[in-house]
Amino acid sequence: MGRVIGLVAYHVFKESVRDKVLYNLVLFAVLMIGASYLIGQLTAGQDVKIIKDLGLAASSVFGLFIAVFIGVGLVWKEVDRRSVYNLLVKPVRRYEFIVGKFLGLALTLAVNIAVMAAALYAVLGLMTWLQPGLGKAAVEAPVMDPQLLKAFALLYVQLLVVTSVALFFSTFSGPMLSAAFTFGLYIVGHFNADLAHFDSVVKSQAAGWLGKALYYALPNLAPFDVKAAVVHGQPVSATYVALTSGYGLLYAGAMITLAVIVFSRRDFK
Amino acid sequence: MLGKPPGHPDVRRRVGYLPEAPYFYDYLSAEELLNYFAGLFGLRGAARTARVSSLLDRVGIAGERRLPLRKFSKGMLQRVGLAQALLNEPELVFLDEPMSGLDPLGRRDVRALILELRDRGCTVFFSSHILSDAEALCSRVAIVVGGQLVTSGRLSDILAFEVSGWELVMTDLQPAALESLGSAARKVTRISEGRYTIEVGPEAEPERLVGGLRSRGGRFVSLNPVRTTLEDYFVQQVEARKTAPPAGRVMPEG
Amino acid sequence: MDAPAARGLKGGVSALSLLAVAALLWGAALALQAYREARHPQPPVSSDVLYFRGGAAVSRAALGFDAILADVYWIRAIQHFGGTRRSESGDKTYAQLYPLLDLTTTLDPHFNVAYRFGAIFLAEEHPNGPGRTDQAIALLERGLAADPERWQYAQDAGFVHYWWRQDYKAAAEWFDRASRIEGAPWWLRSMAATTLAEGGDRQSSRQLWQQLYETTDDAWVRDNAQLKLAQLRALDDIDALAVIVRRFVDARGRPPAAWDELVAMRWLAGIPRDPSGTPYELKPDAQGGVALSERSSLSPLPPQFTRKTGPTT
Repeated sequence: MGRVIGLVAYHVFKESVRDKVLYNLVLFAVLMIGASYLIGQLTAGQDVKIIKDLGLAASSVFGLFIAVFIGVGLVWKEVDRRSVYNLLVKPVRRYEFIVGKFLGLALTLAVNIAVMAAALYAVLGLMTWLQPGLGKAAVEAPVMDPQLLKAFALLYVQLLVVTSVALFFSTFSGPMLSAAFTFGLYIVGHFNADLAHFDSVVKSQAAGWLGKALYYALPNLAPFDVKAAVVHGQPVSATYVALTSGYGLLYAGAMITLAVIVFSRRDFK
Repeated sequence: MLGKPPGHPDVRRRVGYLPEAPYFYDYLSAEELLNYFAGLFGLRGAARTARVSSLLDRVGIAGERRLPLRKFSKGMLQRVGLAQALLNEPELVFLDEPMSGLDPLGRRDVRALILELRDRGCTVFFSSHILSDAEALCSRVAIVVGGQLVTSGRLSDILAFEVSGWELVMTDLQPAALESLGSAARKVTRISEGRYTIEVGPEAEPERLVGGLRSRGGRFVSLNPVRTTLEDYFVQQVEARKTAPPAGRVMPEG
Repeated sequence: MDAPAARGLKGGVSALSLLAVAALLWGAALALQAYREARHPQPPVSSDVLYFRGGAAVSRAALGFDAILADVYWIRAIQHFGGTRRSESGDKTYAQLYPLLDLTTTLDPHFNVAYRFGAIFLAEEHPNGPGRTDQAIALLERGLAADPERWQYAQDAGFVHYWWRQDYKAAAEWFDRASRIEGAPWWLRSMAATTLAEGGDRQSSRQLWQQLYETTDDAWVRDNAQLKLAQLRALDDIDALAVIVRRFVDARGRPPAAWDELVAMRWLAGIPRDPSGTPYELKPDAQGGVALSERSSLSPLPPQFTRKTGPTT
């Protein structure tokens, strides 16, 4: 069972590599280096903060786009091109297909995030090397701050949630619709905390209940965003990272299970 | 199916399938695709490598094994499809239109492959619009018209292998010579100047006919017996159900 | 793969048990979230802020990209300040400076430098800045509200009062407030005392800038302190030169036409230059008859000290 999932996952990764998806990493590196030069010209001594902001924000954007645009095609493309017919007559169970697809994209995202983190550290290292006094000036947080890894870790788990949502939609709808749904959920996911306090804003009790229900049903993505805290050197505890990641992984697991249910009930004829 | 419910992994392990107009993954080469699927069947290591290379040889695309599938022609994809259907040395193979997209040489190769599988004791189930292939390969056929099974049975039962007439081709025939045939000729078709195809009934004695025409200056080219073909039978079956749409297909069992 | 118990064409377990698994995972996720919220609560959303305040509304709409937006507004604030300052137009209102800084610090409430530099920009006298010391103090107070442990904000507020408003009582209060924040350097306490006792004295103000110059980590803040120190030195120079000029007037009955006359009399070793290297100017209508060149990078000198004449010789 593990071997089949592994094979499916490996081929998702292979496809994304051959689709030149990882080219965005080159773009990322160029962006970072170019930006660090420009920002050094523009701002008074705040290069480190802005480079970190930019690096983390660019990683989330690139990661989000990969997660959504590959995620919504994962299952749909195979059904649309009918390659799934040929795959499912092989000894591949449907849940293995879905889980393999998910893990494959998770692998692609992991490589992406890892390389982007490395590129950010490289740019920061380069800046330290070129401006030896920099370390002293960055009073808020060290230049090569290991805390940045926490931001990257939570970003990764957040992208896994987005991927699971995209994959779920991909099992029953076309890519345009799925992408729209997934982006919609991403946005709602960041406003989610508002829904929990809906009952204190509106009079109607029913609306309050609905807000609460949506708060629990929809992914809560805002807690994954610790970029600002990390850049300003505010502590992000390991428990916080662990608890938030745990929530994300379980939520993604639930979405994947739902995707398996939908996909298993589909009739390919 | 094979003593188990269809869809059971054990069944799928023993079955091969070639979809109609197969699409495989563009980003893979033929060799990578076969390795992937072989892995799904649980093959690994040297056994997998050996199986994949021998299949690539057998379907005749060993030279293009490293080429990405997006560069493959329809015929080459069909060969890849056949190879992947046979990866697990199946006991039962389903081929959906295995001949489509193939050139004459490719068709001959596929025919040979199907016969080879049959000799190994494998049951081959294929669908085809090309009735001569079915007639040449199958032991049992089924005719499906408009999605409905019309008839099925052993090919030898369906087609009585009896001669229903003769087809004679001769050249340098003068119009007078043709006239001498009289009512013996069921149909005369002019191919070119002096060259004719003459169809006669089964009761005609072809040796005597040829002799008569040669004595009038004609030259003998060929003589073939006319038998009922699967095509005739198919047309007959379709005509019998006037309401059915004309696009029917034969599902022969090899 | 090898489990023969698996059933169904669609591969595996029944949909019902899968639904149960999904519900279980979901429930576990929510339980974990509830636990996390209990331990690390997120700030509740104030709907007033969400819908009525400019910067805050942008922040909600930024979907986690507010920090990068803050950077953008910060860069625009710097460009607005620098651009207006350099422009030849007489209409230097710096009208957008405060709104831009407000947007920056609302999007990123911990944007340290936006508060500190922003206050310096806002307090700067016209035409080099808008001269809005009130807004400078307000900005620093917002910074303190976001990060109460940043004594530098309080120190900067003290400077604004001291240097631009000459309100030495308020300055001393701010220095005292800064000194009581944990992590503040020892000299802030003595600075508070000195300010209160000898406010407006050039010597105490030199000490103030010298302290800042020696203790700051930030190159920009250091440059600013250096400029202020150079200006203080120029004020001393001008006072000393005024004494010589008055002596000349006493001797000849007219002000000197050029420095050369004083050099020829060997009262001066050469043409006197300010710390930036620009020669001082003889201006009979100026107080003391000596002034800083308008071409000097130190120009203009802070107002309160130019008004204060009288050498201490």
